[in-house]
Amino acid sequence: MKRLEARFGNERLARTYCVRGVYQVLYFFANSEVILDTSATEEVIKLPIHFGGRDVQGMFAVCETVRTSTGAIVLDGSETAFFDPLGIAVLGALLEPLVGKRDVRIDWLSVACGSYLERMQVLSACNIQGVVSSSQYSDDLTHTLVELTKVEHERQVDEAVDRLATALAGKLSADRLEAFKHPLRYVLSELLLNALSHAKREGRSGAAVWVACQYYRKNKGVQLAVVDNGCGLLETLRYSRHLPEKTHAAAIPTALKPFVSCNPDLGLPGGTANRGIGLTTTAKIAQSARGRLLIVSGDAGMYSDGRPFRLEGGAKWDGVAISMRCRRAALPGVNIAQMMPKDENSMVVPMIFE
Amino acid sequence: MITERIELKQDAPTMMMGMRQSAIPLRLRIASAIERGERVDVDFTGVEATHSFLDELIGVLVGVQGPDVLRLIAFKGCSDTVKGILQFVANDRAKDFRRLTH
Repeated sequence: MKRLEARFGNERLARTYCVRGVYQVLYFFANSEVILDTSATEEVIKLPIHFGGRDVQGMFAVCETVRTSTGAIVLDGSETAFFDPLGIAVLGALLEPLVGKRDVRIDWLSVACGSYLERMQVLSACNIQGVVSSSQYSDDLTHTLVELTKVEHERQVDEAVDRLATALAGKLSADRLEAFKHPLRYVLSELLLNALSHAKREGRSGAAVWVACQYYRKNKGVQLAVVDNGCGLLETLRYSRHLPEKTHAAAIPTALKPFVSCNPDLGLPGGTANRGIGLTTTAKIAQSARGRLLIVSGDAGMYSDGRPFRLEGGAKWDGVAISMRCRRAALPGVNIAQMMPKDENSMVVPMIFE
Repeated sequence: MITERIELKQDAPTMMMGMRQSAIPLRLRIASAIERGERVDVDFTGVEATHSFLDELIGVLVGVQGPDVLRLIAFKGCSDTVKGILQFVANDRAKDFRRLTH
């Protein structure tokens, strides 16, 4: 009982959980013919302390175990203390497609974490059972976070972009708000549209994109995450002359180069090839706002400040996961026009601006 | 000379125009007007746009018809961001045009 109290932080909730569990067991035995089979046990997958950008290895190790396992998914949240928007978006991309196919349960998650997952609408979107939550996140958090959002079509992008940018920009007067929202809208628009385009390539028409974001008042930081379950960067760049070798580790820095497009042929009637500026510009915006991008695709990852890494233990992500962190206060100072690639050999074409 | 006026705010559900696809009908409208011998005013008042959108809107015209086509197009109400990206797009696509025609 003391362990339950420590986990739930509240004796009443602990007793409720305990009594509920006892009633469930009694009801089960009263109404079922029980055949004890000690050979079949569920694999319990332990969640890391931080499920998100702070422990990328731990997060994707869990994803790999879920992906390669069969049957019900049982996650042990007893040591988990924190989820961030990247973790939320990854959970959505991992578990939402399994709704109706595999049961998902998280045991022993703290009430605080459970409440956060509920507020971020992960529990309902992914039909996750076993989580106890309270109403601690019932306040209006419109200007702080945006819950897990699934985007499947381009027509959903504009509304999602505006909602996300409004949440991250915060409660400001109208004249100041635009300076904060503008770079966020730009980044979100580029990331979402790019993700939708490349995720659905290579026959993955059912792929989708999950997004989440949050403003952290304590450190005045902003984090947004855009995660898809598509074909990944390597597949979209496989035949690019810019790719030095056909590996995920090479594909990510290649995608960050200017004029290297992951959607070279968008197949738009009357349209043209993508120029490959979007991801490059997004990385520069993050840097200008005193932040950085984290990109994971396949078995590799990279921070936009140049630090690559490999996912350990054979883990891989089928798709692309991007997280951007930056300082909210630095957003008004971002000059997007200055982020365009520089070419000293380019002539300036006369244009008429009125 | 007749001037075709295009107000992007009418086509923008929110402030940011990002989809390449949504630029195509607008570009075709600009191209048709120029073909008829008209000038074109493109009004960006109240609207921002990404590189992808602006490249599809104007860059393709410059890449196919050359930078001289911009003498017939006036860009109104542009934010500094839109101006900067439009200039980049024009310079970038003009380079392609010169490479193809020389």
